[in-house]
Amino acid sequence: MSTVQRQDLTIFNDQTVLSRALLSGTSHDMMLVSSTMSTQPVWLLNALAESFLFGKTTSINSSSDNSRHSHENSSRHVVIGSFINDSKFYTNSLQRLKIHSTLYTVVDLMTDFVVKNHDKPRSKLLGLLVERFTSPEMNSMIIIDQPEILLSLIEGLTCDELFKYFISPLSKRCNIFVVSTSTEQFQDHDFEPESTEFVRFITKCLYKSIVQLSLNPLETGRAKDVTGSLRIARGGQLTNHLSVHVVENEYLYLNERESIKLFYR
Amino acid sequence: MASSAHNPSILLKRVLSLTEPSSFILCLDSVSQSSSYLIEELVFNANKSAGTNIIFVSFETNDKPEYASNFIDAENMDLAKIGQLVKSYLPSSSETRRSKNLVIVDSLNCISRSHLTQFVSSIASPHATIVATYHKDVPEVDEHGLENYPSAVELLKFISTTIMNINPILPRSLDREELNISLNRFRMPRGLNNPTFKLEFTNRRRSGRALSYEFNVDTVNHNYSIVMEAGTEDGVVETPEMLQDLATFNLSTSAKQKEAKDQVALPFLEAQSFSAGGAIVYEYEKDDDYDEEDPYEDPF
Repeated sequence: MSTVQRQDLTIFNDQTVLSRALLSGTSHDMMLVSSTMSTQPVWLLNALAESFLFGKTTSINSSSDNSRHSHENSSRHVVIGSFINDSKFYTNSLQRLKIHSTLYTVVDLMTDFVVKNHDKPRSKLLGLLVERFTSPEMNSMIIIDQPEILLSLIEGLTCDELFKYFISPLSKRCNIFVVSTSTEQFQDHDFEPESTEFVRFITKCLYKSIVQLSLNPLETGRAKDVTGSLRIARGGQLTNHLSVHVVENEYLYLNERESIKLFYR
Repeated sequence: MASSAHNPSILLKRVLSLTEPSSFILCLDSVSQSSSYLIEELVFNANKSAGTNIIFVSFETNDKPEYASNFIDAENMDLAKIGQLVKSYLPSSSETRRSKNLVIVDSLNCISRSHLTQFVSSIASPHATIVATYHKDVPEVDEHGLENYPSAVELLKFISTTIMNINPILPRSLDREELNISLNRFRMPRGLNNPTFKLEFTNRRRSGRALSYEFNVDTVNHNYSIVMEAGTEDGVVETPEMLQDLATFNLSTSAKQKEAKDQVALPFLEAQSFSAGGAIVYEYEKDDDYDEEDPYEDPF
């Protein structure tokens, strides 16, 4: 694999990961990142945050710290809210990329969630969660990590309520809204009543997104030189309001300690 | 001139341009081919005549589309309020001036089955065409007490006047089985959600007869090519062989006779093209004996 040419990550036809066109208007666009246990999406979320702030990604196909953003500033802001990792986890990974701490906010949504919120009505609780995302509406990106966990954590919560009180209000608070979700446990679903809400959630995310970035392990099993595949495919929403369109592609990637290597499939 | 009832492409074009009266158009889509391109095509055709009032009722769209005259963010509203708002943007039912009004509902999936028909009737108006999308692949929630109630798709199909079932044209590298496996794993395959797609089009006539056709719709060039005639709604396509030996006289029609039949321009279709009220079209023939002084002979 070492002789195979590495590729840059591009999602839009202007050869960018996040096109400037996404920020030029007042639109609120959603992107879906889906992953499994063995193909964790943190590197991809970092790359999206990096690209949003600086217009380039140094964490992909680069092993040296020299090219990273130690002195760069940006007028943009990223907010990351996670239901699966604490704030230290994301702070550490963004610090490793030398992104200045004023350019991002990490909201820890998980710690003591049940203890603090067990007696609150569903709509009020979700409203309080939304209020914790204090980002400027323009020039901002919100990344939300595994919000589907709320369907299990909040008794009686439906997919429609989750969208109505949490996903939709958040998506209107920023230019680019990224939902990261784990799909493994609902794959090859048989529409059991308990899984219906999860399936509805992911399917609705696909309809609302302009693009899906799906991380999956190799179908052929584990390999030393490939961690998994990244597929870029169009979502249910059109990009007619933008001057760019999504370029569908599939990459193989290798997750190493210091960087990510991408190859064409 | 072939009549629109016999020319499927013209019938589709008339429905898309809101010329053919159809009060409720149901779009059935899936993640592999969402209804977005079809809605854009409908708006393109409807907007050819200036002054089309487009009301967009949004349950899942964040931003007001450029073409929408009015945008209703319906996700946080109760259904009665949405009905009132839509009505306030439409001309009153007693108004006689005819204008084109289009109500687009981006998704009906979050409305419970027990309220679906009520909601559709609350936004319906004699002056408007409702175009609503229902996502076929979003599973329905089991509602207590509605175990024996029809499914949402069945209900919507029953009340709709036109059904547009949208399917993707699969790329060569993908077959139906692979597509299902990928979508069951929530992995969108590449090459879907294209501006060109398959459309199963069913139009219910006022007589109650349903005409079904399958098209390949190209929304870039606005070209609709028929794939096959699906026949009537019950799926039985009448062939000349079926009529043989049923009687001692000839019941079937030859290809030449069929062609000649399709060429006949039916007068009632011409009458429908008048935009203002009803009108009597009468063409004098050479043997007509018309007396100008007799008031009862004046066909107008």
